[in-house]
Amino acid sequence: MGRRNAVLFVCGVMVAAVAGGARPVTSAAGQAQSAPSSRLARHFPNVPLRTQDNRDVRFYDDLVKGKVVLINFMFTTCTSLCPRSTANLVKVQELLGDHADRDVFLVSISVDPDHDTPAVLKRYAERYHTRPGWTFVTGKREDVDLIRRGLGVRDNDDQSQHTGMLIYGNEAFGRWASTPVMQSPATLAAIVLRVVDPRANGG
Amino acid sequence: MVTRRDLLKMGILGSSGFVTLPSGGGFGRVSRFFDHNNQGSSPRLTPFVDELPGTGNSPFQTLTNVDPFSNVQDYAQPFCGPRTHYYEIAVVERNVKFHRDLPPTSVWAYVDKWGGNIPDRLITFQYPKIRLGQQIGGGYLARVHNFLTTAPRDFGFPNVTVHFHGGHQPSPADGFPHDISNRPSSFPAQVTIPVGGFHDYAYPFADVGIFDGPIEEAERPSTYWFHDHFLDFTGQNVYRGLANIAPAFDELDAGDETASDTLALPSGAHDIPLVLMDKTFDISGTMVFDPFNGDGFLGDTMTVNGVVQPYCRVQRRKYRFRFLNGSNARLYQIFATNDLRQTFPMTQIATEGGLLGHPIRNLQSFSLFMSERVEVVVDFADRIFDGQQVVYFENRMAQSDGRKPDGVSSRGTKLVKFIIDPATVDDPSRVPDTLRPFAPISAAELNASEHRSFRFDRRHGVFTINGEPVDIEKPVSIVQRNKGQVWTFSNNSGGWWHPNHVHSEFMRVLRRNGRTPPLNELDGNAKKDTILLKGGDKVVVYVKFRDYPGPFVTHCHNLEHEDMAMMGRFDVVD
Repeated sequence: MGRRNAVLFVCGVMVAAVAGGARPVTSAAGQAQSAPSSRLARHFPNVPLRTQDNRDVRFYDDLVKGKVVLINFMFTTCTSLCPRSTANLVKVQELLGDHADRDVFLVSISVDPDHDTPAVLKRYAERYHTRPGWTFVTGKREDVDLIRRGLGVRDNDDQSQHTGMLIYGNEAFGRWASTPVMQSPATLAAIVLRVVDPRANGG
Repeated sequence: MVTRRDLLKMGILGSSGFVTLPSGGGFGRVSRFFDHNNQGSSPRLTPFVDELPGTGNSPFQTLTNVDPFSNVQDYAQPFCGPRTHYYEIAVVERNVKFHRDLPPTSVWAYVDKWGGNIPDRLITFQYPKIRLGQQIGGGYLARVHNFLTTAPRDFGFPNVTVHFHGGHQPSPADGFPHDISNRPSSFPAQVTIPVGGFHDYAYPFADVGIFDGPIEEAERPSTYWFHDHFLDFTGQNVYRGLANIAPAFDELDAGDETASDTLALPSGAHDIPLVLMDKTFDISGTMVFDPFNGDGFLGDTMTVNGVVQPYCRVQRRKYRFRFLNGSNARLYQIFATNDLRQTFPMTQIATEGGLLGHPIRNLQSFSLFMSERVEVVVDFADRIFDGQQVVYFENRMAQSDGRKPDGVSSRGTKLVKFIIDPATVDDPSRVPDTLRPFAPISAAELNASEHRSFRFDRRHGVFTINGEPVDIEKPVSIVQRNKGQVWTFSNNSGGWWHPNHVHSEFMRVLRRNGRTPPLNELDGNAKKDTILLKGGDKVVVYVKFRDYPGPFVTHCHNLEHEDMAMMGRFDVVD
C-alpha cells in the first residue's frame, strides 16, 4: 500500500488547489491536461481501410485526427434502416452548408466489408448523391470490428444492430457523443454543430 | 476481481433477477471498458482515512446570500418578489482531493461564487435551509455562471444546463437539455449556459397547485438534488462533478428535533446527506471516464459526498441519513453492517417524493438506483448496537455491466464508516408512526384520467419510445395541464434496466407487473420521481402536470442511456 502511494506521489501531478481567497470566483482554474487525443487514442484504432475511391487510409490518422467527424456503420445490402439513414445524412450534410468538407466530415463504415468493396461503395455513394467530405470505407472484418469496439458499438446481435446510432465528435477537443441517425436532419445538424467550434458561444 | 464472464463460468449468474454470489466478490472494482483493455484500474486506496464532507471538521459552506439582481431574465421576473433570496453559483474547473493519498485531480464543480476559501473537495456548499410551501414572490433565484473554459478535455462538454431534480419549477428553470427551435413563444430561445454565460433559475418552492389549485402540501419533497443535463453529454458532465444535494423543510418537517409541534426528526448535525458516486482514477490519480461506453459507465472506486470511503464520528443516538444515488449507472443495495458482517435494521422515512405516509421500520436493506433518494433513520442508541463501536453502510449489489446489476451478495463494499462515541447523550428526536399522510389517488380521479403508454425498446442499437427514436425538437407527448394522466411504462429492451425519471411532478405508482407495488413506492405511502424498470417490467403510474406549462423531459437515469437518446420530451399545454 505504502509503496503504491509513494509511486503515486512521485508520479502524480502535484498542483495547488484553487484558493478563492476573499475575492469572488471569476474564472476557471484548472491545470493544463494532456491532449485528449493521447488519452482517447485507444478508441480509434489506426487500422488500414480503403475508401470508395480506392484510396488507402488509416482510420485515426486520415479520418479522425484533428477533425469534427460524424461516424456511422452501414452496409449496402441493408434494406431496412441503412437506406433511410443514408438519405437522412444526405440532408444533414446539406444543412451543414459550408462546414461540410471544410471542418465537418462524414465517415460511413461498412460492417459487411467482404461484400462492400470500394466499387460497391462508390456506386452506393453515387446513388445517394453524397457530396465531398463524406468517406465510405471498407477493410478487413477484424479491423472494422476493432473500430466498432473502440467506439463502444457492442451490440452482439446481427449486423443490422450496429447501424442506428451516429457517433459524432471533435477529436481535437475531446468531445464525443452519439445520437440516433433517424432524427430530423435539422435537429441532427444543430446537435452536431455544437461541437464544431467549442470556443463559439451558443449552445 | 470477479467479472460477469467469471460469474457465467462459475455458473452462478442467472439470466435475470438476483442471485446470491459467494462472499468476497470484488465488486465496486469493475469498469468494463478498462478491464477489456487491461488497464486503468484505480490505485488501491486505504479506506476511511478522510472525514465525511458535510460533517465534523469538514463542513459544507452555506451558499452566500447576495443582493437582488437588477437584470433578472424575463421569464423569472414574475417569480421574484420581496421575499426572494438571491444566490450565485459558479461552474468551474478546479482541482480537488478525493482521498488523502490521491493528488488533486481536475473536476467540474458547482461552487459558491462568493464562497471565499473553498475547500478542495468536490461537494463544498449547501443552499441555506430551503423552506417549502412559499407564496410566489419568495423562493430562490439562483444565477448560475459558466466559468469553464473551452480547452480540450478527455470528456465532458463545457456548455451546461442545471436540472433541479425533484423540483416543481417553471419550465425555463427546469434545466432543459437543449436550446430548441420548436418551442412555445414564452420559452426562451436560450436556456443552456455557454462558456462565459449565465442563466437565472427561479425556484419558487411553492406548493403544487399554487396557480392551478388546490394546494397540495402532500407533494412536498424532502431531498432535492441538482445536476447537469446537457443533451448527449449529461453523463460526462455529471461524472465530471456537476451534481449536489439539497435538503428541504417545512413547518411539519422543520429540521428542528427540539420542536415538539413538528415531526422532530433528527436534525442539524444529526441529519446527514450521503451522495453516492463511483469514480475511476488512473495511476497518476487523474479521474478518468470512457465517453464511448453506452451501456453505462461503472467506476471502480466508491465515494460518498465526493470522498473515497470516508469516516464519520457519530453519537449514540438517532441520525437521519439522506441517501442519493448520484452514479451514472451503478445500482446499490445498502446494508448497515459491522466488521463481523452482521446487519442492523433501519427505518425508512422518505423517498424522492418526500416523507412517506408512514415509516417502514425494521428494514434490513434497501435498493438505491440511479437518481433515487432514500432517507433512513438509524438509532445508534438502540440496544442492537450495544457494544458496537464501528458501523458501516455497505453496498452489496454486485455489478459488472452498466446495463444491469449482477445480484446481491453476502459481502460488499463498505461505503462509509461510522465511529460511535460510547458516551450516552440526550436525544430529543423521534420517528412518529405517521409522517406526511396522504390519500391515494381516488377512483374518480383515475377514471377521469387520460391513458398513455410508453414502451421502451431497443432496435438497431438505438433506444426507442413506442418504436421510434426520439428527437428533442419533437414532443413524444403533448400533455394537457391539470388533466390526470395514467401512464404505463414497459421495458422491452431485453436485459437492460432503466430507471425512468419524469420531470416537474411526482408520480404515484399504481401497479407493478400487475401487482400492488411494495410500500416504498406504493401510492398512498410514497411518491416517486424515478421508477425502476427492470427487463420486462410494466409499471402503471398516475401523474398530473400543474402550474407550469412548457417543455419538460422524461428519461432513463442511467445517464449513458439518457445520452444515447433514451429521453422523450413532453410539452405541458393549456
